[in-house]
Amino acid sequence: MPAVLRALPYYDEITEIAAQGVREQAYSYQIIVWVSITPVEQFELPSGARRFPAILDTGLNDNFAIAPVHLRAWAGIHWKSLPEEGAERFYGNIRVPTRRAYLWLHPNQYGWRDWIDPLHPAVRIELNDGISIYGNGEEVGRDPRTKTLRAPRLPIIGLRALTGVDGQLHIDCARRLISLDLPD
Amino acid sequence: MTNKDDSGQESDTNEFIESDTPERSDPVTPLARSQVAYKAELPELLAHHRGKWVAYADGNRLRLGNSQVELYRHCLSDLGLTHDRFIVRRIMPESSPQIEYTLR
Repeated sequence: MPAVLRALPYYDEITEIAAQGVREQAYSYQIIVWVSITPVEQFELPSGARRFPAILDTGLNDNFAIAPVHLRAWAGIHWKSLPEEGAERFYGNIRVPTRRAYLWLHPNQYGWRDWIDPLHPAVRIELNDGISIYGNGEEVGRDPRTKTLRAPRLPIIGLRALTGVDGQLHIDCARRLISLDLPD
Repeated sequence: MTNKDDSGQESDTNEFIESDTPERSDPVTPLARSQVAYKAELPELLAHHRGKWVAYADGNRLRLGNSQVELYRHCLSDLGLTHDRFIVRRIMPESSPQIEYTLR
């Protein structure tokens, strides 16, 4: 089972992260990984594909959630261009349709968070029910109340995504290090 | 649209939606028909093909595969289907669509 994340650190304090010229912060104990999003017609990740940070959040029970503004600015994709998946999520009692897309996870250089391993290609995370896009006051589904959903501050990967690909996630809290293995 | 159940009573075809979810009145789309068919066949799929991927179009099972991308290629490139016609799902136990939504 190949390693995708190797000794990826997280920190006790706030740290700066950069994506496509936009500076963001990772708060204490947030696990930051680097991802790309593409339409599913792109069976391979194009070279030079944009990548951006996301929080790996084992407390999130969705696959992947992202704000419309981040999807546009960081992935170069408008949410309306992604087809509906035919599944949905309920955020509270608000129905959010999921959208069809590939999530790519970029391997890190051993021991580094924001340095991507140039020797290993990004890994496609096959999401069973697509991704959730909401926030920024945008109506993203047939329920107008989707406008009221507060966007995630940063994109988030949940445990549902890693479960769907049979991943093995190891969190070394003593050393503040993450490792993730995914099947071939 | 309605279906008849075993007792001959008419029932909402959107019955695949979780019973504890809010009310809905969407028309039945090809995607929804496929989702209904997938959920109906899920016990049998789990028994024999757990962990594999399956594609449905217009309510009919198309084929099984070893990966999502394999079936997307089949539906999009080989069959020329549009996205509103098919679904691709991994065969695994059904999970709740309810998301823990908290402010971050």
